[in-house]
Amino acid sequence: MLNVTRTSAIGGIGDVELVALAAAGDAAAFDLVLRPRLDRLYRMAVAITQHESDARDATQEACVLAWRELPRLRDHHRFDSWLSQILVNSCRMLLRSKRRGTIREISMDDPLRPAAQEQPSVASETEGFGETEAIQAAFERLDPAVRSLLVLHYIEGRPLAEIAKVMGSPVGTIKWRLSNARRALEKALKAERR
Amino acid sequence: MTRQFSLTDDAIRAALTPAPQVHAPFGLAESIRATVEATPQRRRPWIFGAIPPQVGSSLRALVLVALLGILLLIGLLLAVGSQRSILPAMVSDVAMFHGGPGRTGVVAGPGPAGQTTIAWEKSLGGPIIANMPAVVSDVVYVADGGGGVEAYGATTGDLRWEVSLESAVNTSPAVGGGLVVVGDAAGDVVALDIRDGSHRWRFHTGGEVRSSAAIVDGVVYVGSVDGNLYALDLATGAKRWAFDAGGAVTRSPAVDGGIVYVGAARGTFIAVDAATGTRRWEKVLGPGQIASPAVADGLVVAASGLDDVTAPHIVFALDAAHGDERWRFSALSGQLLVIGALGGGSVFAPSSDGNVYSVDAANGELRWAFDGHGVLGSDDALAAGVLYVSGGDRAVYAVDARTGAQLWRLAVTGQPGAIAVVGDRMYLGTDLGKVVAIGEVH
Repeated sequence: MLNVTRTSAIGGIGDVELVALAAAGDAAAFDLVLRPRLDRLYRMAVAITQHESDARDATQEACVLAWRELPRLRDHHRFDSWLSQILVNSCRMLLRSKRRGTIREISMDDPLRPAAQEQPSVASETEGFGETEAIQAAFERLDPAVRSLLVLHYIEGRPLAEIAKVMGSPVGTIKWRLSNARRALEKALKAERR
Repeated sequence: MTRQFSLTDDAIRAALTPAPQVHAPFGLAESIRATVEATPQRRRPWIFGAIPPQVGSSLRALVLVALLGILLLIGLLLAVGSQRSILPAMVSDVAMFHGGPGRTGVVAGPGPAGQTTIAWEKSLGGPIIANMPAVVSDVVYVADGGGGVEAYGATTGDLRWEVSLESAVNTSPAVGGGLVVVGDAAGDVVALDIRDGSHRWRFHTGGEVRSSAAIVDGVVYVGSVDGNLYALDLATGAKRWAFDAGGAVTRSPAVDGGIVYVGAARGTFIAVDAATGTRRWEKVLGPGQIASPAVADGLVVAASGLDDVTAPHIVFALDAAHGDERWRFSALSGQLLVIGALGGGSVFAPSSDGNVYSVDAANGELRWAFDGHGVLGSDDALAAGVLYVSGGDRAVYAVDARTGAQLWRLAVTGQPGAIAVVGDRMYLGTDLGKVVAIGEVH
């Protein structure tokens, strides 16, 4: 039986020990590590994919991949941001495989385009379409990477430094990309209303 | 009824946060557990695992560096002992259309031997029309007509990152200095970070960019439909100079020996000083556009008559320093020719008549013609005596570069574009939006 002190804090001592056991090939320890995190992972996947069955697939794929790659994670304290990174990538891959030939995506990496330079405030008419639905529809137009960034910031409330770790970019770049992501959402929202 | 609203942070949170009752579905944890138990973990290579984790990170790094040094030394000794240079096989940090700035199509390869197969295939967001993947440090960079730029692991095709530009990208990515440089239909030259695809700089030209960039000594050379050939600083994207070519530059420049060679409208072929952007020499080769040239060993070859069905279609060989004509070649069919590759004493010229012509680089005499089964483009690669041809029948051919004999044929999904050959693999994109890796059957 595992003699581990469980802590609710992410990266706590008990978790780190469990992660180490899992990295050594203990599937039961991995199960213990994963269960308290599963809801959070799944909800994040739902937020990114906006689709529950996609979220299930992405979560399962991410967890299995995490198990497979765990021996390569050197710093076990980084487990949570590492796992989030894997989940984000799984969501992106899944969205990418589904998006072919459907809608034109809007990238955030384009601050110089005329539409991106338009007024940042979105205030226009909607008819028979609620605010929430319009934003959701606009969100689904976005590039998977942009979606992930918005979810990590607005929904998960992760600090910029942590998002930077998850996305593998410097904090300054994340700030810049967040700003563009917000503009991309505004732009998508306008497109949604046309 | 109409209603006004603003996109506030709260509105975003309210719209995108899953409902409180959303929880991981019943059975997901068990399903993961079952899959995990049946899935082996990937262990770190023994060289990492052999060092105990309690060893400090600096000591650990020191031990690793020492071990890697020993391995490198052993490798070098083995290579010297077998009289085989390993240098061509070493990974370059630069890759671009047609194998390098000279656009000769000659690569170290050696390419796959024996029976070949599709090692992996991935779907892209748009077609690849003639573009060539760039392969650096075991990563394949591709750009597609849907505006996507993607990086895939060369071994298994795992997606490393992807970026969506807003406009179609119909140029081959050029990789150098840690950047991936592409041109797009909106007229931008865009540089992305090789590690994660993050945007590093953008340079706007006045017209569509169909020309694949060449990177030499920290400078990006690229043409635009706005009629200019641009030299941009690789690190910052700042313009060093712009040369007015007198008409749209739609093909890719070649660079060698401090000179940039580029074709422009009305058959003008121009040599421009790479440092200053001033004209060295200019020659009118006939009506129509000039195909992407190739240059090596003091010889520059260019094909005339593109985009003009009434123009004569001729391959010109010119002295690279002064532009003096050495010879010219045209196919008996009189149809369009482009430059496929320049190497091994031959110029390989694919034609819209379906043949690849091998022409003696010294005198322009025909050596052989290979039936490529359809309209061919400048998509060839030459590696270790083998010419790899993008056939017109949705297949790739390997041809003995000396004799023109077919070595093998492999069907792919769609019409293949330009071929990159790295190590024992080949990488190409297709007009059906696939990126394909071809390897040996093991």
